Amino acid sequence: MIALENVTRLQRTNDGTLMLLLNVTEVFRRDERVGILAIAGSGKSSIARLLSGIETADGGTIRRDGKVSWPIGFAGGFHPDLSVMENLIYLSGLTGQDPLETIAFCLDFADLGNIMDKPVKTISSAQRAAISYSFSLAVACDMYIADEVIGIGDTEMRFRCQAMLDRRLQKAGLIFLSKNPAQLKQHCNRFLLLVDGKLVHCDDLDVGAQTLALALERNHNQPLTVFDQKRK
Amino acid sequence: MSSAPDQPFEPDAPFHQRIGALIRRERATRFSGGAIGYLWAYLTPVSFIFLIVIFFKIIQRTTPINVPVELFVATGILPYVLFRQTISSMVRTVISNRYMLYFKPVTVSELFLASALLELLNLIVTVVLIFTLIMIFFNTDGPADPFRVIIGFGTAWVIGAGFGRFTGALGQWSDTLARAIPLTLRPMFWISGIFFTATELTESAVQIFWYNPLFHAIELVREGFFLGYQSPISSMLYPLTFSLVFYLLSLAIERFVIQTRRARHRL
Repeated sequence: MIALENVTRLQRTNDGTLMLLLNVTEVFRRDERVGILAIAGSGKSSIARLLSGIETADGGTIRRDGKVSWPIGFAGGFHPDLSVMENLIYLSGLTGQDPLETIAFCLDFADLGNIMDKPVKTISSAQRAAISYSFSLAVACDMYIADEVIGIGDTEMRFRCQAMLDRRLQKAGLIFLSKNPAQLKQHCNRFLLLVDGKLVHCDDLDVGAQTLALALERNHNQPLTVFDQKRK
Repeated sequence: MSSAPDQPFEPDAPFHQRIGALIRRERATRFSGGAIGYLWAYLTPVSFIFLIVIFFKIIQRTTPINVPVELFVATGILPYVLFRQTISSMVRTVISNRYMLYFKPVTVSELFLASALLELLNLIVTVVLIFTLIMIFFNTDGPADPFRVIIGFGTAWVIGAGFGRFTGALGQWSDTLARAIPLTLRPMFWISGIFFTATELTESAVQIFWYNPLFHAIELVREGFFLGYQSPISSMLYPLTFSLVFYLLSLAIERFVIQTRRARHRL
């Protein structure tokens, strides 16, 4: 479970302070899949990092019961000079996984046996995405966070991603931040809109998408509300 | 959905396992050149000793303590190398390994600790290797008080770790500061007693040099190594206090950088 209580997250820029979240109170349970619909540039990645515990809030408290994943598919932890196998071994140690089980999982899931000994800098971006995605799901968590990326590759691979994610979500919750209502409908059973720094409950994502479009128009096509403009 | 919210939570890796994984990863990435990379880490202090011994011979300087010049130089240069490399490594790790912070509960402090421990482990190997070689080739005795030698090296490491954490925390904020501070430490090579001992200094000079914490560490090593040698600059309390002050400052800086989101590299 992740519980937000009066959480505020601001983004300081040269023009002023932008509002990503303002006094948001919300609970994400382990038995639900929550989709957050947000327009591009509204701070989805920052909020995903906030939920994962990588970033801190400017105000309020966040309580996490259980293990929360990093944003699914994050590839930054893979060192380019190390082989895929070495990366998996070290990252397994860091996340409390058995390295052999992790390697077996990734081999089975992403079918990347031929690149295991190659340095990460020499493999293709698609292979890198596959290994990052499979490692995200190799680690058992109580809550998974997805920031736009919920599946990768071609149709067959996406089907396997969906099947594996479904297996993981039998014992875990999901928070999926996306600008794509269709994707959210496919993966989630409860929906929220990120509008003007608030998380608003929403039953119909099509209506939600229209609401976000109107809010964007009202805000002169600026995805984020200026909280405190600097005087020039 | 068939979720089971009453199931036990998935466990995180315990602290010692995280530190172990960070050390192994850091070692593998730092010496990605393989065996040559590893060798380089041990050759650096050896080359330092070699050059300083040549310098001693050229200027025909005799050691203030009646021991081979190689041994005298090694007791000065090795604590210095430990101090400097711990700082450099800690400044580097907080930037180069920042993405490890995605794998919670890994913290910045754990990155610093793993990096400093790796330097300590490397130096233990180097120290054993170099002193063994010197003892074999120059037929010298081992340390008179091995425990005091360990205390001396430990003190050099603690000073490096405290100041390294401070510099690393500043480095998260400013690249200029991260590069400038190690440059300001260059004079430490000349003023920390690598080439001379505190007993050679005048009383007024001792009072000034006393404020250099690394001098204490080097003199502690020499007191432990050379039977009967006693230095006026060999306090353990002062260097440890120095390190603690910089450690506490680093915590305040880190908090400031996180709260004001001033980190120069985005996660």
